[in-house]
Amino acid sequence: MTDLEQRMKELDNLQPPDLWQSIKVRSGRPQTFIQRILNYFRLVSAMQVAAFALALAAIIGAGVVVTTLRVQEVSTATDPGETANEDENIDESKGDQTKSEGSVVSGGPAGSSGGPRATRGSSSAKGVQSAGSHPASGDPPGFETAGPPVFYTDQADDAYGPDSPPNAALSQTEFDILRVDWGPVPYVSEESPGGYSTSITIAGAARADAWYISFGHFRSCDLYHILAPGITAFSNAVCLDSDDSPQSRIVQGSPVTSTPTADGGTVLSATFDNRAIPPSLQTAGRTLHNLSAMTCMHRTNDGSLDCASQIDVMDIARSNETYRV
Amino acid sequence: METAPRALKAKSTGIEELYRSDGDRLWRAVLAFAGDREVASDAVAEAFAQAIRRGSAIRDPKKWVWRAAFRIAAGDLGRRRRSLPDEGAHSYEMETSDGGTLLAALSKLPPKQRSSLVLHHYAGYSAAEVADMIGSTSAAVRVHLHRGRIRMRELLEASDD
Repeated sequence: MTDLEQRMKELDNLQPPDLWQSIKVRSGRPQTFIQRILNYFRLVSAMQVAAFALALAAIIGAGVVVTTLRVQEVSTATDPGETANEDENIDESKGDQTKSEGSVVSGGPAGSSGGPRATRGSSSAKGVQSAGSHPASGDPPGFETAGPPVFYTDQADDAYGPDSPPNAALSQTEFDILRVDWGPVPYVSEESPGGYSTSITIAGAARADAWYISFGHFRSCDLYHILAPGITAFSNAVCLDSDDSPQSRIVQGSPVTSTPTADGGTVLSATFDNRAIPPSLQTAGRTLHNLSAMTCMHRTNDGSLDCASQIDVMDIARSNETYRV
Repeated sequence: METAPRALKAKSTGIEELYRSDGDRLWRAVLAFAGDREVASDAVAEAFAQAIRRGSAIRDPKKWVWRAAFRIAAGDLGRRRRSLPDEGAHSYEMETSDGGTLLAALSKLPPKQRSSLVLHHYAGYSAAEVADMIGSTSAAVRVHLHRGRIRMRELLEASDD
């Protein structure tokens, strides 16, 4: 036994409280949505591997517009929640059962220049979503038109940590999410296969060392869309279906477009072929719930991007919206 | 018809047994890492609660709970660091009772050195197991352990003088 191990035995003199009652009470609470997503986000290291693989595939000219890569089964198992005090709950069964209840019509096409600068919390226009989407004549097998446009807004000047109140002095415009759009993209050809688009409007210029992530929840999974200037977008479905180790599935999207807005902001947008969505999302009605977005700063000290700890997350835009991809 | 409730009860019972056998040691380890009783209690309780909720999805509850508790505590510390930027890198509670010197010394280490030392030298996990728990690599953990031991020796010798 080393000296340090001997000294560590001093810890045995500390008297812990009996936590079992607290555990039983907590175990009856539904797990929060944000709890899930933030924990999954330690998976970004896997995403970085995926991004590299996708970039490499693009460089060598795979010639395939949509490439589905099963990069790896991520074993970081970071599902344990880190945000126990979040109050946004989600019904675990909703992913299978909730169909489109009053979604959004207005909001313009995803990837547009974004709406007015938001000043208050998340909101979106309400309307009636078309029930079920069917392929138009000429569409390839498996193609289904995604749902009508949906958007939600996030308060301005709050990009210095999750759940931060507005503070212009602390907020950083390049991370400040103002608006998130989702919308259908028609099929044109195999070179322009359409599907659905997702875009994030931020208050300033987009940083190359940051990630802009839109996401939604289905079944026991979350589907993240990674947008960053100059990269080919990719989505990552992270699921906790049968094991404590999340299963990760990467799908390539289109190159990310970065469009300046009139008031100095930027719209980052990408399109995803919805024929390539994960089978589990297909069977979940192709519908994402609790649409959200986050911006995450790249740490340079150890080369990792750690959104799970929230240290690197700058802004989160949450909503109760759903979208049928 | 009673299969599901029975299964849940069995799972809860199994987790309770795990809590009774490992809970105190886990709490002390998390306290040594976080330096705050409240953080330790919250992280341990939440980890076990999540283990109960996840039921049979967890193959190795013991390993899972340890990993969960440390990651929850790390998240709590991260949030505190954000919300209290003027209070330094962490809000370590200075214990005056038994273990105070040790905790004070640990508080001066970077988080990954601290968690590596506690999980390896107190909880007895291997470098590979520690790496899995804290989201690192075995090689990095060995570096953390090496540097952490040197620093701890200096700190403890200084406090003993």
